[in-house]
Amino acid sequence: MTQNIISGDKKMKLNTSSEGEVTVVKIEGNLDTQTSPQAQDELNRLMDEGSQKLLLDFADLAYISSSGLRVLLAVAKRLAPEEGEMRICNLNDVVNEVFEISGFSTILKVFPSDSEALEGF
Amino acid sequence: MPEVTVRIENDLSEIAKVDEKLDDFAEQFGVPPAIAATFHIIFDDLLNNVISYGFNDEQRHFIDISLELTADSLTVSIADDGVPFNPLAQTAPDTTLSIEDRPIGGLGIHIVVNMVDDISYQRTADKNVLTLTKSFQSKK
Repeated sequence: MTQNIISGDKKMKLNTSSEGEVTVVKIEGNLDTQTSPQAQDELNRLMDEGSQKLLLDFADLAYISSSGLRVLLAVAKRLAPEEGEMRICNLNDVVNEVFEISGFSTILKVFPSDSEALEGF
Repeated sequence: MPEVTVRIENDLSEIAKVDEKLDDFAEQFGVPPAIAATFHIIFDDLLNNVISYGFNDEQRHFIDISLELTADSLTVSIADDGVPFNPLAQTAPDTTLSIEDRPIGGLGIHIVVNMVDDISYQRTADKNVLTLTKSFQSKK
């Protein structure tokens, strides 16, 4: 498992590692207007470098606004025609609520834990 | 009842000042973390909208935010002197669309409206004033 820490600012950090073919990106902090551009850049870079299977681990994500949802949608839209896949796991209650209200819990692949998300990925 | 106000300029980087004020307020008065997180989302979505679309001149504008705590709820108000805009009068987005058919924008207000227990809009003295309340025992 390769470990590659990317530091954001104090509001958001991304830790990237590999689980076989899956690139696991742990997003710490929050995804909002200020932090979403950096997250988008990093996820784009990973896909540019060939990551087709992305697991976003939200265990340490405090909240997400519509700016953050936009990032997720952009990643999903890019991976779909490339036969790639994005999964998301470990959403807290507030993030879950945002996903439910927006309908993202239906259109994105959301799992309660990383082990469940990695199963069959 | 504890109350705090903050005034920001119409620049996206100013949202961070509101976040900081909210965090300080939450810590000082013991606002539950989930409630604070909800209002971070609300501020981000609403202020992003106002700053991005509310003004059509190149001038500096001020946006006034207040937070008020009761024993079991948090109320915030956002007042701006931008173009008349009632978030409650907007059409809800179609949340059943697939990934391919989803437009990238349009969700912010929909999320905000569905995360609070009470929301009201007034247009007074050339200002948009939006007031939102979330109860700590919220069913939402």
